[in-house]
Amino acid sequence: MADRIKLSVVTAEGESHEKMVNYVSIPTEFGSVGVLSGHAPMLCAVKSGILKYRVGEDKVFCLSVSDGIANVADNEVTVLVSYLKME
Amino acid sequence: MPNIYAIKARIKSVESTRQVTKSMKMVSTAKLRRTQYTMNRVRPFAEHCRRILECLCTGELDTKQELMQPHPEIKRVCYVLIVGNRGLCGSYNSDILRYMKGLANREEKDFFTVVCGRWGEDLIAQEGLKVERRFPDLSDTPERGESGRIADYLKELYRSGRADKIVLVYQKHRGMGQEAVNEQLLPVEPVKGVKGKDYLFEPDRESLLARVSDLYVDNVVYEALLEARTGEHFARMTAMTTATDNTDEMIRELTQEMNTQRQAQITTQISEVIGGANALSQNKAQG
Repeated sequence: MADRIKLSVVTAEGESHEKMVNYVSIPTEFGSVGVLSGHAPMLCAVKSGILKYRVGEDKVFCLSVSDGIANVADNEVTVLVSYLKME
Repeated sequence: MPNIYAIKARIKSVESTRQVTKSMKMVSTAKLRRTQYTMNRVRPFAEHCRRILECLCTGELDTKQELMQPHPEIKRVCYVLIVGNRGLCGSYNSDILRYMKGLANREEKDFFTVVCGRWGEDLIAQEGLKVERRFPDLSDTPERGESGRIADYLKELYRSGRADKIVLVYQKHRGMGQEAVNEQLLPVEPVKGVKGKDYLFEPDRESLLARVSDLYVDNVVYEALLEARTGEHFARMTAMTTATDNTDEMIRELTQEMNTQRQAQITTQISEVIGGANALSQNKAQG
């Protein structure tokens, strides 16, 4: 599957992590929310935890994120958090 | 007519002034660059935040968020005046103070100010503005922690009802100059965007609004502080450039004057020598 989702994780300090991916799993209060390309527009509250994304067929990466908010629209996932760290 | 030594001393003193203004210009340029860099870094976050708030505000909005709900009656207005940390930046500080004074004169409600920046404690008091609190210890390139402290205080002012409306007053840096602006911070006005997609909200709109409105206020305060500081550094840089140019001009004029004097002195000395030689040769001829 081609990487069609543009993932950007941005912190208030200006740090950012941008990547073209094909799947994102966002940690929320009620468990992880998976996003594939063509997902309906959604705003969700992010809970501090591990945000996972997949590039290509099998490369899975993890990011530690703090509480924040995620916006999913038009194959773009924007996650605003106050802290992020590549795992 | 001043003598050459006096002019030389004057040139020396102007040169040392030039050294000071030139260093101040260089320091301001470095600070301006750093502030602009920080501003460019935080801008994407602020824009995303605004866009999310826009998405949350589309459609019928009946929110119970304290920060977004206007108070039933506006009794007290709080003006957050952002001034520079120090002077020597042209009319930057006095312009914003004059603008604030104009706003104060037009304000019909009871009002008070919160001042951010070290400059002009006595001047602000002289203008008769009631200062509720000062935040004098802001750095030249403000950090998020510093603006967070101010934002928390302002949110508390609004929540507790001590202020029914909070307005930011600062100088926005535009192109090659500044423009004094006032922007309403609280209550947060719903950002109405183009009515577009139907969003899914997880867990629900209210809790998302609570998060975003908080973040939004923090961001607006931070952006305003950075914007004002950029303006201050720019104004100081311009003022110091002009001062350096003026000292250059002064040094040129003084050097010219000194040369004229020296030339006149030499001419006098030569004519004295010639006069003396002529007198001697006449004496010899007669003797």
